[in-house]
Amino acid sequence: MDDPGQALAVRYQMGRDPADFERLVLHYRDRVYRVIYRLVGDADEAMDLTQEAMLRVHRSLDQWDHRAAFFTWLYRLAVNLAIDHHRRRSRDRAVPYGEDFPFADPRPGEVERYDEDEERDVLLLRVRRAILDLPEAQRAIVVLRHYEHLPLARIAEVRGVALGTVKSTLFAAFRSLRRALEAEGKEKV
Amino acid sequence: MDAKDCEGFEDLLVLHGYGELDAQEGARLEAHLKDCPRCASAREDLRRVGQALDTVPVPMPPPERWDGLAAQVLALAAVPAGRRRGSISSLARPGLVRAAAVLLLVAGALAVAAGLLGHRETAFDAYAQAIRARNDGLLERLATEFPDSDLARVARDLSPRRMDAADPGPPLPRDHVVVHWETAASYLRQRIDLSPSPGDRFHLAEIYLAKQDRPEALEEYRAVLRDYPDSQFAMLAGLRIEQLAQ
Repeated sequence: MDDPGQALAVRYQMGRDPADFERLVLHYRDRVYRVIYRLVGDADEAMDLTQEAMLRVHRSLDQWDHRAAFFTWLYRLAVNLAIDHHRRRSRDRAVPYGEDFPFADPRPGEVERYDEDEERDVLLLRVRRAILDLPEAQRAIVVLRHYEHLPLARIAEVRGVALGTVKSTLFAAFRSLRRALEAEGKEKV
Repeated sequence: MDAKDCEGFEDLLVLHGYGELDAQEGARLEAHLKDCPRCASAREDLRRVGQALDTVPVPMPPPERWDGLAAQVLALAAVPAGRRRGSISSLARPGLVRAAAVLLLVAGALAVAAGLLGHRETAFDAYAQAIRARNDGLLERLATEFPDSDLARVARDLSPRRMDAADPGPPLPRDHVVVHWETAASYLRQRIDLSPSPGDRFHLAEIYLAKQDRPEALEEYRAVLRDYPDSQFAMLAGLRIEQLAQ
């Protein structure tokens, strides 16, 4: 795969030149942030976790053995970081999953910001709720397939599970999403 | 056509939507869709779900808030984990980011200097190294050189070779790990982040069990069973789940 980030990662692994690290961070930070944001649902937390992910890249790059592409290794790191973070946060706060997410309900001002198209906002909030209500494994696979456009075989590498597991998890996720959106749609009528 | 005839096709629709079906399967699905209003309707439903997912935006941080991220990371890397302070999201004002990065660089350099002056290898250091590298030799050295430390006992009990046995044995005594369980768990989680493996997940579950955190331990054991059903650790995890159920 012609990912220029791969060459950057190899260069930094070999030379440990801070300028290469800066280029590497610049190349990947938005992608890493996007994935993490979609998993944790909070912009500030996503920024902090992106920083933590890059710190782990710096510290642990020697452990990348090139058997997987660098971005596969990086996605794995980022997804696991986000999932672990969210799991710990949910446990620490003893709040049922999804109920403390900023997007589960409108924030003050959020509805006003979008009031030019209220119907679209309602849909948006419903979809966010449905995504955030998915179990972590399902949400991770939806994020990687639907938003990051990774092939399922690559997702299996990222998640460290069998291709069949990825498929069955994706099917389950879509069944849940379909049910959730249908149910909410009926409730609103 | 009744629902039984449609079994499996709905799942294929998801793969088809993502271009993950081969030509033969795709043709079979298309042929079925022509004669099956139920599945054609399901396809429309799935299309709507996909379109709904597309509506969810990601609020990207403004570029100025990312300024200095690499420098900040390198500065943080120079500070020992226990003394790390400051996160990029707390630096809300863009003008502060560069200044904070500079301060962190200075603090990091001082911390490294202090660490070098006073450095002495501890049981903790050796344990962390051994866990990260899954290095049997280092685990043995740790057990020999720091025989009385808590971490040496933990290291002995967590030795990967111990896990080769079919019987995981009784749960680790609580006092073996309780002092440093969080550190040990943190290292294992880092390893799992980088390279998930059934062994590390099982070890993590063992640590939770030793800490008497049954829900977390059960979650990890179940993850081993679910994600690595063919590994030797799945059997061990199954045994543990049975023990916990008794």
